[in-house]
Amino acid sequence: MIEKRAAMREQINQLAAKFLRRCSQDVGSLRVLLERLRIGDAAAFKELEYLAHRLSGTGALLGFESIGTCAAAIERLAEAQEGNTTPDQKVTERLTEYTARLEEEIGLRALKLSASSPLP
Amino acid sequence: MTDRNQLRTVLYVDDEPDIREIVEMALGLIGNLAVSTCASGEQALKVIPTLKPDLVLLDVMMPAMDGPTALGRMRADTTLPVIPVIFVTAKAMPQEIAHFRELGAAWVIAKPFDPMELGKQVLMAWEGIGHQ
Repeated sequence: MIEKRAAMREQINQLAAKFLRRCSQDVGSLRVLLERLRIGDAAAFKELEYLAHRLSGTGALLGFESIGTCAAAIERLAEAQEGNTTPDQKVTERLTEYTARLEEEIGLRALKLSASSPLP
Repeated sequence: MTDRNQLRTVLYVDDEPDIREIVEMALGLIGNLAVSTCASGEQALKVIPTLKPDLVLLDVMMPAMDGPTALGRMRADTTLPVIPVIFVTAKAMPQEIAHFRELGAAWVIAKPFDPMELGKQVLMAWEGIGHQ
């Protein structure tokens, strides 16, 4: 049982490293969705909510609390816009700020991870 | 605990591959438990009739068919035995839990969960829903 638990911790660490690498792509996708909001495409809210939900859920589960918190803020704000047919500029600005914060957190965690286990 | 009431098979449904992998590992820590996973509610509805799991763990927010819809479809299918369903979700405020219970969920496990403790949580839920 002890070996199984140790193997599981190791696998979770590997998943965490993979997750952080994927996060940068996801931030890129968030920025594309923010652009769509800027040109008035309110359908992007639902996609933002779903993408942020994924980042928040997986991030928190893998021990990246700060990433989970930032992504959850994006998810909640996007969810609250349900039914809006015209994106509010202030909301889009706030989502942009949250996304920048999220990117910063991802960068910090990736830096910490590479310092503790340098990639080959 | 009698054999009849022992938890032997679990189906975990979540669209996130990382979370499926973690849950599979976490529940793998429980001896004699077979764990299957599905990436969507639709896929789960296809495998449940043949797999006949003792317990289904359903993510709530999934694209196309969410957890509550999948549960509704399971209950609407009279050919299926009534398999207890646990929702695994970040939406775990008391009023949200009450809502999921009204929909027919036997239990709710909050996300994020501690992977090292998930097995215990699931066994506790299994006992709590009357299978001890």
